[in-house]
Amino acid sequence: MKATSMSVDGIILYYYDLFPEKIESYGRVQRITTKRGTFALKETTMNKEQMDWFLHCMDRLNELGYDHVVPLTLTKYGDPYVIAKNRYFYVTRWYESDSRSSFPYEDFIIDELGKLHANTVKAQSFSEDVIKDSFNGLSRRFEQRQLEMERFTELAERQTYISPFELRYLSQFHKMMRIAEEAKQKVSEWYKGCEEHKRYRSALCHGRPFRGHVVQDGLGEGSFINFERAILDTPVRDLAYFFRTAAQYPEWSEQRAIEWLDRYESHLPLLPEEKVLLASYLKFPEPVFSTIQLYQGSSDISQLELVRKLDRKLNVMKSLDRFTDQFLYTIPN
Amino acid sequence: MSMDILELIEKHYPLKPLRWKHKNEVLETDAGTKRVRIWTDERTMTWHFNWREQLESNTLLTDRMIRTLDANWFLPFEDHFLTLHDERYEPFPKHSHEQTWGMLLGKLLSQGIEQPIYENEHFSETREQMVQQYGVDRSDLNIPILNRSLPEAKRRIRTVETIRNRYRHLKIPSLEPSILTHQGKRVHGRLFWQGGNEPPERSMHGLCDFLSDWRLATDTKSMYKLLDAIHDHFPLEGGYDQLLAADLIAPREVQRCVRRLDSTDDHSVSEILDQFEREWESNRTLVEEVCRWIEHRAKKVVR
Repeated sequence: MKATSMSVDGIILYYYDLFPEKIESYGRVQRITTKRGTFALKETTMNKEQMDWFLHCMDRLNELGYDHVVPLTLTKYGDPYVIAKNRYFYVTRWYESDSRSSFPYEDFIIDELGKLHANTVKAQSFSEDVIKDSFNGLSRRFEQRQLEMERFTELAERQTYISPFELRYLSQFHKMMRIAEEAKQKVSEWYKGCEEHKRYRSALCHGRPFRGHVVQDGLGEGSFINFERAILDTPVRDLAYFFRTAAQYPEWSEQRAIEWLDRYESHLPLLPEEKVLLASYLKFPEPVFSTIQLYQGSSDISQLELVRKLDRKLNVMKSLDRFTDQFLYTIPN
Repeated sequence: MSMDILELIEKHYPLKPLRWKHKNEVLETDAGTKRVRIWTDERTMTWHFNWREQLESNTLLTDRMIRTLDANWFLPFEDHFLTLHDERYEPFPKHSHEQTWGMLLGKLLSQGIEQPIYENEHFSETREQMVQQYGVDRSDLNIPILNRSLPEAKRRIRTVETIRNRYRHLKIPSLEPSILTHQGKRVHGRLFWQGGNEPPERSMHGLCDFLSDWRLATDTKSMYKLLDAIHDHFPLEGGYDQLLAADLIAPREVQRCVRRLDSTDDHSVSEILDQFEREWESNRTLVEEVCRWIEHRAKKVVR
């Protein structure tokens, strides 16, 4: 991300006794260079409840001795954050993050997710209602997305002159619907599996494990940042996010993805129904759906760029579908 | 001793001391100017820690205790305790900022009631004790100006006693014995309150000193605005206004004059007496003005 220079509310710096020599802005993060070191100041959109949960997660990681997370720098009064303009701000030491560097991001992330999940995984007491609610919620979401994709198809087909984006989309529509149906089928299988075995597990999930949330220290050691979306949920949540984003980088191949999954399972073997749930998440053409939303809502992106984006997403979708079929093949009947 | 303190700070705090600005009190560090406080009494120190922590808000800053590397807010130092605070110099403006100052004082009063440090929550001095405390029994000094004022000072003590008896059911706030306007500094546009380290007193005395200080620095209108703003955060009606008036009436200028006379040599006696007269007059004006404010508010309530 390109840096822009900017100023920071002095009251925030006062709480950390930071006297900046330089401030650069990277979205919601300011890089603050001082004589006492370089710091990252993060402006969050969290409310009080979310902030409390975030701090609880950071404390929990500390208790577990999990050290691949960048700790918060406390204010001079020992507070973990500062409130200014009704927003929560927190500070950490600044570590470099360059997603194009040679650092083996995916190896690191999958290893750390495995350790994190294995350390925090907990078999939940089985509740039919909870599982049913999750099943209904996920099925409903998939169906709604599918409906909107069908609606977009109808609108596109009615056009006298179909745009290049719509043309490319329509050519793949039936394939996407077939995969979406398979995803829904997998959700049902997952539900039946939970019912049959009367079990499901949750773990502390990072929430958004991808390259942008990994930084390196001076010795090249990686650490996670940004546990703001951390949540207690099925470990599949993090895995799905990981594989979906990893599939967009050139390092991706189905073979490597299988190796990453094996690596994860060396820390926490997945239950058969969890693999089925992961398959449903990965199969569903969610990335294509979000590209349609982008197409419908954006006027400042060129058709060419949108078609390229759609092509990339379609390739990711197909690749994920193949990867999913491979690991599903290994589940014992 | 000073070297030890600097070493101790460098070892335990996340900052680097550079030099003393005022030896053993104020030091320059790579994290700005800091004040060192040495506490002999842990209970007093804890009281000061608590009000600083509780008073701090988005709009009001206090010189809270800076944490050590181990996240402690104090360090054992010889047989005492050491704390480290920010030290600021730019004064916070008074005119047009009465609301902010009033909020500070109102909150100090509210917390002063809630913070337990003394078992006795009410005034307990007898009239005889007050007479002695304020030096109103010191006719032995044989100074005509002072002696002439003693009967009036005794009458004032009787009034104080009457008011305190009437409102003895009210809890009296614990405040620092001295609260003055120069303690309010400006930090990033906010009021930054620098407290002291004296043991608290269960008394409105600190507020009286503040009002007197404010009145001298501003004007009557500004003081009324300030009292209104205090009242928004700490309802003065219902007795505290009367207790404030009582504390203003208490003959502290006699007390101060006697103390000064006891601790000085002859050649400055005239200066002390001049000062006594000025303070007497100034306090009389202040009492009148505060009583006018109290009456005005009482009328508002009746309407």
